[in-house]
Parts: sequence; structure tokens; C-alpha cells
Amino acid sequence: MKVRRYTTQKVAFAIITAAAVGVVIPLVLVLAYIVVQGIGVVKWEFISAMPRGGMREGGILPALVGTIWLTIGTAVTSIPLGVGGGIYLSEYAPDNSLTRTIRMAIINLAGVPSVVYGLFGLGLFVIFLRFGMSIIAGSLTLGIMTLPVIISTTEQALRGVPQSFRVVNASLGGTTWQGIRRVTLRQAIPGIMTGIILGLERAAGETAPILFTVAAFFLPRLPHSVFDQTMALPYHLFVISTQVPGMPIQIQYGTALVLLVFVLTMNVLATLIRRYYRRRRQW
Amino acid sequence: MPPAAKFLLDDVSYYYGDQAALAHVNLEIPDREILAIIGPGMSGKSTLLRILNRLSDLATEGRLEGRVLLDGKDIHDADISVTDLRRRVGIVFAVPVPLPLSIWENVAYGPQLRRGVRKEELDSLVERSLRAAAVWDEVKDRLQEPAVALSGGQQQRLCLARVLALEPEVILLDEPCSGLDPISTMKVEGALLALKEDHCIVIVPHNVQQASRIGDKVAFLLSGELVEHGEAEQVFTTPQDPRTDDYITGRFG
Repeated sequence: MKVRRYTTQKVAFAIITAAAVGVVIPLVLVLAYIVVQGIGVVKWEFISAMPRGGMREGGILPALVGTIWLTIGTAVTSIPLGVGGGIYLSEYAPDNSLTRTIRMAIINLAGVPSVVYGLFGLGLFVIFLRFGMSIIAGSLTLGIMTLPVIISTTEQALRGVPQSFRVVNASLGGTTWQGIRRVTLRQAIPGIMTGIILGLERAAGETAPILFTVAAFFLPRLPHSVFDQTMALPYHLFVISTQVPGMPIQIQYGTALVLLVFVLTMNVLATLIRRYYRRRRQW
Repeated sequence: MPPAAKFLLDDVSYYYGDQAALAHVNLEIPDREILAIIGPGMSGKSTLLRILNRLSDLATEGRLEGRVLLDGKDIHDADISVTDLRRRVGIVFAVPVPLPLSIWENVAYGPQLRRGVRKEELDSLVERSLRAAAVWDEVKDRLQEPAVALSGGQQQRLCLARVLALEPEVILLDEPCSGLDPISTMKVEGALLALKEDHCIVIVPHNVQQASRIGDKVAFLLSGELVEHGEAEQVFTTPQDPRTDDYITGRFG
């Protein structure tokens, strides 16, 4: 009996380990393939120059700058609303039909396909509000798409903070808001940060929502204001991979590599911020 | 002359849903004395404490009937601010919950919620509070360290100091010594005996012995009913109700 139990455990353990290792394999393959294919063209000029010769030569500067603008724009539109909404749902919302409806809406919002957000952004921001194809229209569209992620992670992070802290705050004459600001939110920041960066990361890599709202096919100049149209990395990648005949394959993979590095940098940033807060919090 | 009543409970009942936790309690709580509320588990002792500083408001399904007067004024009056009330009526819980802050920040937490308190004032207030809670000597060299690093007994006295820093008029204690060793218990009881000189203290002791050690008055609750209350000496030696006698002699509870 004893031997069999150990054998079962060993086999199960091996399978679970293999599954865990298996997760890493596709990631490594994708990374390795893109790096090998693209590293050749990624030089300073590639990320600092305008595209030339029908995008078959030169760099991808306007697309990179455009993606940075859009990521910042998404952050500005989605973080205040998303964190605020998460705080409300976790700390203030009574359990009634209204808040249940809000919760339901958020869950469904997260399930809406990104191309539908794109179409919505075209209708509301580009046409109805007359923003035209612009960074502000794209940022707002990406911001709405990112909201549910930020709201739910904020709510979850706050719910993870022990209820007893809230009772102590109240018992010492603190208002709900004072408790949030001084204790609860501070405890939840690492979790909230993770949610924010995961959301922004996804937004930075999305193609469909920017397709109708901001992304230019070919626009070899940098945007001057949020009402300018701009190129953006994900859409640029789509364009040079499918719409431009005779495109050198290295440029495609080089662009993919830059996009990947951009997104991974945000990931690393998230980890560093999390670690910083965890070290500052010694309990 | 008997001390004036600090709290007056006028026909107070409290319901969780349709379950009565307290039924028609009439009780006078004198100032500058220690009232010990005794009774078996689930008899409404904690509920009674939480009503006194309206922490019971946090229980959304709870419902209060009757009037609770503090210095003759109903604590549910519209012009009473609940945050002010909780500063005047501090509470210490059975399980110490240090906030995830330093020792100093924990004690200064309440006063800092008010505007315009100066750092030097806070420093002296923190020291006075920690001294009064008989924990100053143990923490004075580590005020900036996290409060959770303290032992259970130190944490409980820290929580008492945190309440004292509010400079409250009333101190409520819900089995403050239930998790403590005898030495820590002795220190807390010593602190309470000193504090009753200028505070109204209501304690739910974790056993009858503690009630007899420090209580001036004793109230006996059973299933939400106030069976008996009066001078501690009288309740313990010549209880009027047979149920009180049964409880304090250990026949149940």
C-alpha cells in the first residue's frame, strides 16, 4: 500500500511538473524565434528614424512614439476611473441590485471583443464627438477596454486587506476614506499596480481598437498633439506583414521584437514596483 | 455622593435580523468606575459594548431600539458625529489588531486623523499613552519598528495605548486579556485601575475572577437579558437572582 501511494505521488508530481515546464516552452520558442529573426535589423537607426522607401527601409520611430503616446493616454483615462471604481465597489458599495448590475456590467465589459471596442470608439469618439482619427480617440477607446481589468484587480486587491483593519480605523474615529487612504489602499497597492500594468500592456499590444480610431497606415512624422493621428506598433506590424508587397522579412520581425520588448519592459517595471512596495512593507 | 452616570441605557434592545441579541436593557454606567459585564457566551456582552460607541452601525443587518444617552444626550441624535463619538468612547478588542504601521504610527493614528496636530505634541501624546498602558519601557527604543513584531501581550497594551491617545472619556474593553499570560494580564489590570481615576471603564472580562478583581460594579447578562446589576461586592456575595448565583459559583457558563 505504502509503496503504491508513493508511486502514485511520484507519477502525479512528474505530470504536474511537466505541465508547468510545458507552459514555458511556447514562450521561449516565440521569444527565441522573434529575437533570432529580428535582432539583425534592430539598430539605433531602426528605432530612431522615419520609415523610407514605402516602409521597406529606414526605421519605425513614428509607430514606436505613437504606441508610447497611446499607452500614456490609456493610463490617464483608465487609471483614475478604474481605481476609483474598484475602491467604490470594494469599500463603499452596498449589496443591492444597483451594484450587482454594475458588477455584471464590468464582467461583461471584459468579455467584449476588442474589435467591437474599436467600432464603438469610431462611432462615439471619432464621429459623434468629432475627435477624428486621433490619439485622444484611440486612448479613450483603449481606456474603456482596459477599465474592467483595472476595476476588478483593484477591487480584489482591496478585498484581500483584512476587515479588522477597517473596524480598527472606524473604532479610532476614522472615516471610511481615512481608513482607505491611510491603511487599506497602501496595503493593496502592489496588487493594484499589477492590475494596472497588465491592463496597459494588453492595450499597448492591441490592434483592433486602434484600427478605426487612431492608427495611420503610413504617416512619417511625429504627432504634435492628442488630436493628431499617429502610427502605432501593432497596426504597423499588421500593415507591413500583409499590405506591403516585397517587404523584407527582417523588418517585420524587427518590429515585432521592438513591440515585444516594449511590453516586456512594462512587465519588468511592474515586478520592480511590486518588489519595492513589498520590501517597504515589512509585515 | 455616588458618581454621576456617564451612560444611560433606556430600554435598549438590539436585533440581528429577527434574532434579539439584547432585550429591554436598562442600565446606568457610572463615571470614574469600572463596570464589568459578565455572562456566558452569546449573552450580548460584545453587542452591548459595540452599541456604546456605535460600532454596531457597521453591522448592516443590525437594528437598535431604545435610547442610549451619553452625558444625557442621545448618541443617535442627528447633531452627534459618529467619528467624534468614537473618539470619546474608545474600544479595545479581544484580539489585538495592530495596524500595518509602526508602533509610533499605531498610537498616533487616532490623533493624526484630526487636522493640525503638531509632531511634538504627538510625540509626547504617544509617550504618555504608552506609559499609561504600561508598555512604554518595552517599546521606547523601537517606536519606528512594525507593531506586528511585538508579542501578543505587548500588542494588546499597544492597542490600549492607541485608544488612550484619543484621550477618550470612556474606555470599552472586550475580553482584553483573553489571549494574555498572567503577567501581561496583571499589567493591563494595573493600568485600568489607574485609568479609572479619570475615565469611565466598561469591561467584558474573560472570567468571573477578573470581574471580581477590578470591577466596582457588575452587570450580569443572560441571553440578552440584564438579570442583575449592582455593586460588585454585593453581586458576588449576596446575588439577588438565583441565576446569578448559579453563574458566579460556576454551575453553568
